[in-house]
Amino acid sequence: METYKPTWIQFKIQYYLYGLIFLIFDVEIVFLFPFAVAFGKLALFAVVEATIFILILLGGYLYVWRKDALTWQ
Amino acid sequence: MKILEFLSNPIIGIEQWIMQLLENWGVTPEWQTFLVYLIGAAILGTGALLITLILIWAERKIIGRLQDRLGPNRIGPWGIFQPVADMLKIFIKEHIIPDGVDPIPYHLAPIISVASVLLLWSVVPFSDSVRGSDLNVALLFILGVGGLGELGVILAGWGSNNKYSMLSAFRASAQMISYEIPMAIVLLATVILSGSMSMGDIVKSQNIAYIFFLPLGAFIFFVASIAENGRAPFDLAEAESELVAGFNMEYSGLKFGMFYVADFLRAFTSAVIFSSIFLGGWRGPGAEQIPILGFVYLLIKSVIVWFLGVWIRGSLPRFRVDQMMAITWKFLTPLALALFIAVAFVMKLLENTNQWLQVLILLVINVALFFVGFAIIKKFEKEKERKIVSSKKRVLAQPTNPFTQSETGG
Repeated sequence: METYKPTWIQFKIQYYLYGLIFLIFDVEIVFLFPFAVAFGKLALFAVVEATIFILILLGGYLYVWRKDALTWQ
Repeated sequence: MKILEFLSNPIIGIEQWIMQLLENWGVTPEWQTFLVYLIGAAILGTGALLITLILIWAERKIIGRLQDRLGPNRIGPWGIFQPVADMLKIFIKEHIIPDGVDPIPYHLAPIISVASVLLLWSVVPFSDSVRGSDLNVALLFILGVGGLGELGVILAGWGSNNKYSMLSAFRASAQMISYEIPMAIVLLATVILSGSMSMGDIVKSQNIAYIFFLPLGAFIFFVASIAENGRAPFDLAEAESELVAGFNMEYSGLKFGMFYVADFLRAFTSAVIFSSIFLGGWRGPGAEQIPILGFVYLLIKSVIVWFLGVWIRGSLPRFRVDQMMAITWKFLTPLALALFIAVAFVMKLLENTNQWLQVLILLVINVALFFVGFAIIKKFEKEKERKIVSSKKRVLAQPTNPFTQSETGG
C-alpha cells in the first residue's frame, strides 16, 4: 500500500531541543570521565572544581527547565 | 586430579588445548591468538543467540502467568519448543520489501540492531580470567554500543517508507538519548568507587557490592536500562493503539526476527551488565579458586535482575510520552547529578577510612536524596495540575427509574 503524501515528513521541534540538551550533557559526561578515573590521585580541590563545572552547566539546565523546553507539549 | 582441574576451569583448559594443537600444526603465535579469539567470539555470539531461545520462552511463560494466562503450552512439554517452531517459521518466510523503501538504511537496520547487543557481550567478565576482551574503557564502550542500538531504530524508521514507523523512530530515539544521560552519570559514580573503567577491575574491586554504596544509583540505572531497551512500561515506540507496531512494522521474515531477537536479548544483556556493575558479577564464595562457579553466580544474579524486569513489564501500564520525558529530565537526571557530587565529596573526605563506614554514610545519603528529590518534584509538579474540564456530575447511562425516560436517555 502506498502512503498518503510524502513519508519523510518534518519532525517536531521538540526533538531538536532534546537533542541539543542531550549533546551538552553527553559532552559534560565525557569531560567528567577522566576526572572519575583519576579520582584516587586528586586533592579535595579537584572535587570542588568538578562541582563548579557541574554547577555552571546546571545553570543552563535550570534555564532550559524554566523555559519549559523539557516539558513535552 | 587433572580432570578436576579441567572441570574447575574448562574454558581456559580448552583454550590451552587448541593453542597446543595449533602450535603442533606449525601455526605462528600471532595466528594462534587470532584463531583462538575468532573461535571464542563465534562461540560467545552463538551462545548468546541460543540463550535468547530460552529467554523468549521463559518471558512469554512468565508474562502469561502474571496476566492469568497459560502462555505457550502446545509444542513440547510446557510449550518449551515454541521458540524453536517460531524460529523455523521465521526462517522459511518470504522477505517482503515494501514499495519505495530507502534500501541501504532498510537492510542495514536489523543487522545493526543485533550487532549492538552482541557486541556488549565482549566486555562482560565471566570469571577472573574468562572474558571476551579486557578493554580499559569498557564503560565508554558500553555507552557507545548502546548508542548503536538507537542508530538501528532510527534507520529502520527512516528507511521503511511508512509514517507510523517514522514517528515511532523519532519517539524511540528521543527516549533512548534522554535515558542515556542518567545512566552515564551513574556509571561515572561507579568509576569513582572503583578507580577504573574496565569491567574486570570494577567487578574485582567489589569487596562489598556497589548496590550497597549506591542503591539510588542502582535504581536509576535499572530504570534507565529498561527505558533504553524500550520495554514496558517505556515501550512508547511500540504503542499499538497509536503507532500500529512501532519502527519494525514494515519488516517481515528473518529481518523481523532479528529485531525480535535483539529486543529479548537486550533485556538479558542489560541484566548481565547491571549485575556485573552493581551486584559483584562473578564474585561469590569460592569463585576465585573454582572459576566455573563464577559463571553460575553471574547467571543467578542476572536471571534475578532479568526476572525483575519481566515482572515490571507484566505489571505496570504504559507511561504517556510527556510523563516518560518528565521522568528522565526532571527526576532521574538531577538526582543522578546530585548523587555524583555527593559520592565525589564523601569518597574524598573519607578516603582512608573503613569501607563499612563509607557504605553506611553513602547509604544514608542515597536514601535521603531519593526522598528529598521526590518531595521537591512532587511540590513542583503540583502547581501545574491540569484543570478539570468535565463536570463533576456523573452522567448515568442507566436511568434510576427504568419506567420513566430520563434526560440522559436510556
